[in-house]
Amino acid sequence: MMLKDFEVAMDGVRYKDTAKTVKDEKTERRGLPGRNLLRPWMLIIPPALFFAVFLIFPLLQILALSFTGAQSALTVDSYVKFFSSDVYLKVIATTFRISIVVTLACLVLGYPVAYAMTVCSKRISCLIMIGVMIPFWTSLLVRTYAWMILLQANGVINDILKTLGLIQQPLELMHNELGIYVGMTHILLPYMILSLYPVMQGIDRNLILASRTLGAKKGYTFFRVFVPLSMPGVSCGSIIVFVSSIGYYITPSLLGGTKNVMISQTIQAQINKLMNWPFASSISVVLLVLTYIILFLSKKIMHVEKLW
Amino acid sequence: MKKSANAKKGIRVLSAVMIGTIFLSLTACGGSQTATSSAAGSASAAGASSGKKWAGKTLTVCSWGGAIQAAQKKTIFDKFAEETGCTIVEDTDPSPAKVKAAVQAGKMEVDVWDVDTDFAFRGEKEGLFEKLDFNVIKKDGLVENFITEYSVPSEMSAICISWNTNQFSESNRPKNWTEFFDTAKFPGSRTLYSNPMSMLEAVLMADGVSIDEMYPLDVDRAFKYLDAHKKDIQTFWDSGSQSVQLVSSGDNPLGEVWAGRIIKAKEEGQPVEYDWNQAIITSDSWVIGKGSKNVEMANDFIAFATSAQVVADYAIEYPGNAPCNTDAYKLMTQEQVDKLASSPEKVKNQVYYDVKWWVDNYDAVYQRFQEWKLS
Repeated sequence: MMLKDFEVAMDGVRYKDTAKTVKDEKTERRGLPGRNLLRPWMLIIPPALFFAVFLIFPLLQILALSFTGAQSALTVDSYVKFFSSDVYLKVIATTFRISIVVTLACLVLGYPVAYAMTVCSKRISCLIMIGVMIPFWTSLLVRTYAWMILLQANGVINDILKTLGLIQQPLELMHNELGIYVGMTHILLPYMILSLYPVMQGIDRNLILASRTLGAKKGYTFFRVFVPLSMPGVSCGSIIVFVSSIGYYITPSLLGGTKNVMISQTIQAQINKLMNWPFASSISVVLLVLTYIILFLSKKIMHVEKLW
Repeated sequence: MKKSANAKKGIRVLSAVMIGTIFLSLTACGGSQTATSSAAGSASAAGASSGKKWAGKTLTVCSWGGAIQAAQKKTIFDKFAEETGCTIVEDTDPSPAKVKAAVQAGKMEVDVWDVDTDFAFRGEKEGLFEKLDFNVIKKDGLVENFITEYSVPSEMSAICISWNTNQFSESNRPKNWTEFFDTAKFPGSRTLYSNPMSMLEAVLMADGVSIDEMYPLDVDRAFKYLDAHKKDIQTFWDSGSQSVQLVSSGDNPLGEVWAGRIIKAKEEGQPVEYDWNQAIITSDSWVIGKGSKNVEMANDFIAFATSAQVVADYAIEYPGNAPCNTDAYKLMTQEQVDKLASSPEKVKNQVYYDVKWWVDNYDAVYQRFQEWKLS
C-alpha cells in the first residue's frame, strides 16, 4: 500500500508536464471566477502576516535586546564582549567548520543516492525513497540516542570489533568531532537527497542522448553535461544543510565532547545558566548576520537563482 | 492527457508527503520539553461541598518532573489538595529562562516554583519573586543557609562520586575526590557537571582543601588543578539523565553526578554505584512568581510543603534527596534516616553550598569556566 503510494508520487515527478505553454496558462488564469477581487499576489498575504508576527517581530525584539545593557540603556557592550574574547570567535569557527564538513559529507553521500533514484527502475527508486524517508520521519532525539548506542565505548560497533579481535581497547567514536559528524550527517542527509532529486529528475534526458550520439564517453557526458545541470540542486541542498547545521544543539551536545562546543550550546548557557539575555541575543545576531553573508556569497558563486 | 492527470495526482501525493515530513521534523525538534498538567479533580469536587479553605481554587506548581515530581505529587500536592480543597495543576521545568520569560511577559500562570537555590538567590536580585509571608511559613527546623525573604528550601540534594560497577569494584574504586582524579590508579575518562558550582568544590577537595576552609573558594587554585586534569575529563554533562547514561554505559566510568538520579538508576539494575563521602550538598527552593494571582494560597502551600511531617513523608518516598527541615529526622526511623543523602552522621564529611558566595560570584566564575572549557 505504502509502496504503491510512492509509485504514484514518483510518477508525478517522472512525467513533467512540459506541453503546457505560457499562453495556455494565461487563458486558464483569466477563467478564474472573481479575478477582480483576488489577485494572485494576494495569496502570499496570510504567510506574510504569519512571518511578520512570529518571525520578524521576535527578531526585532532580539535585535533590540542585544543592544540593551543594565537599566535598559542603549549599549554595544555585548558586541564588544563578543569580539574581544577569542573564545567566542573560536566557537564560531568550530561551528562553521562542523557545518561545512557535514554539508560536504551529505553532498558526497547524497549525490549518488539521488542519481541512483533517477536512473533505477521505478520500483527500486521507490524503495530508495522509502529508505530515505523513514529515518527522516523519526525523531531527531531518537536517532541521536540510536547513534549513542552504536558508538559508545561498550557500544555495538566497539563490541563487534572486540569480538572479532580487531581491537583491544575500544575506539573513541563519540564525545569528539567524529561523533558529531556521524550524527549530524545522518540526520541532515535526507534534506540533501530531497533537494537533489527533483532537479536531477528535471534534467532533459535528450541532452544526455545528444552528448552520447555526438561521441562523448559515458563519464565525460556525466561530468560535463549532467553534473553542471544538477548544480541548482547541489547549491540548494548545500544551503539547506549548512544553515540547519549551524543551529544544531541536541546532537552535538550528546555526541560531542568537551572541546566541540557549537554556538547554540553557548547561547543556551547564556540564556539558562547566566541569564545574560542581551549577550545571548548579540551572539544570535552575529550568527544570523554571518549566515546571511554566507547565503549572499553562495548566491554569487553558485547561482542559486537558477533554482527559483 | 491521462499522463498529465496522473502526474498531477503524483505531485499532490509527493507534496503531501513533503509537508507531512516537515511538520513531523518540526514537532520532533520542539517537543522535548512539554508541560504536563494533571489536576487532582476529585479533591476539589469534595472540597467545594465541605467548605474547606481553598475549595474551588486552583494553584499551579512547577517542579522538575520525573521521579522527583511523582514523589512530590504523592506526598505534597495531593495531600495539600485534600486538606484545603483546592486543585493543584502541575507544570514541569522551572528553568531560569522560563521563570524570567513568564515574569517579563506579565502573565504568571505558575504560582509556586521549585527552583535551584542559586537561581532563587539570583532571581531575587532581578525582582522575579514575591516576598514570602513568614507569619504563615514557619522557619523552625528549616536549613538556615537557604532561607531568604523570597525563598525557603524545598529539599536538599547531593552531588557525589559514582562509578561503573563493571569496571570498578567495591574494594577497588575511588573513595574521595583526590582518588577520583587519580588516573594512574583508576584508568578511564571522567565526566563532570557542566556547572562550576559543585565542580569547583570537588576539585578543591581533590587538591586537599578541607571542608571547613572551602569558602570563599580559591578559584585560581581550582582552575590550576583542572588544567592539570583536563585531558582526563571527556565530557561535561548538562542533564541528570545524561550523567547516568555516561557512567552506566561505561563511556565515562567515573562521574560526578546527582545522588538521587544514580540511586534511581541503581534500583533499575544499571551497573552504577555511589559514595556519600565528600558529597556536595545543595538545595532547591520554593518561590512564588512575581505577579501570581494566588499569593495567599501559595504561602499556605509552601508552609504545608515545608512542615516537618510532609518533609519526612517526602524524604521516605525519595531518599536520594534529604529533608530541608531538620525536624523531619525526628519523625523518621533510624533506617530511613540512614538512607538519606545528608543524614546527621554523614554531614561532617560533606560540603554545604555557600549559596551567598555563589550568588555574588556565579556569573564571573561561570564565564571563566565557559572560556576554560573552550580554550
